[in-house]
Amino acid sequence: MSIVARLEQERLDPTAESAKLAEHGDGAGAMVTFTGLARPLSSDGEQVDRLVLEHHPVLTEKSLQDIASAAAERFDVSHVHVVHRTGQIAPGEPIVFVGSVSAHRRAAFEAAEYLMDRLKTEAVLWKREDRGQGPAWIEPTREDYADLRRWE
Amino acid sequence: MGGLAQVDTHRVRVCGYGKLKSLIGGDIDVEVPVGSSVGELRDALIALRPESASVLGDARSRGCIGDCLVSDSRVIGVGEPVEFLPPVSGG
Repeated sequence: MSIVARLEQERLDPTAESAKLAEHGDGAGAMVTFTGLARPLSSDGEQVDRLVLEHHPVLTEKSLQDIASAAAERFDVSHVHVVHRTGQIAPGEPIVFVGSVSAHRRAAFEAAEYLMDRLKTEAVLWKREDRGQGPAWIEPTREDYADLRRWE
Repeated sequence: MGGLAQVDTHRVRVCGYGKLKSLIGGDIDVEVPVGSSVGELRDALIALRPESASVLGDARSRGCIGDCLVSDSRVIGVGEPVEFLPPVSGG
């Protein structure tokens, strides 16, 4: 079992992260990856100039590690991989990358979904959209909390 | 005698993140009686900066001391800074 969970201040390269994930794929039967991108439009259709993710100097990375560890314990996976951006992110740029490696596809898919559902609601990050009308702080939606409850 | 009993106070450095930081404009010092809890500091900050109530009045906003999340009943030691973490959102 291995876990990667870290914050990236500058740039997140999903191709490079996938390559690192593949290094843990010996003997596995499934590798699932997901990349979240900064949307160019807000939920009400307004153009977003940039996304700003603020983090806590200690608790943010700890929350990523806690979520990754919980996924590793809960599912039959041999590797869990979480990389999250912080700082200023342009529309279209990657915000988050998650990956899982397993002997079978079901566990790998479920681990990746679980990681994302928990990251959306529990990763210690504060998300702001800078728009033409001014900045707006973004909180998890009702759907995000409903997605999290699937795992209770 | 007959006067009011003097209450010792101390100044607590408060740091907010996310929306709270934008509302209170960065770190702020709040004077509270010695022995005050995080919940009492929360109330004092709302009284001092009513615009912070939209975040601090949300039960999902957690107090944090020494990089550990704490309950509102946690008593603040003299010289201990307190952070308030508004609802988080990643992904």
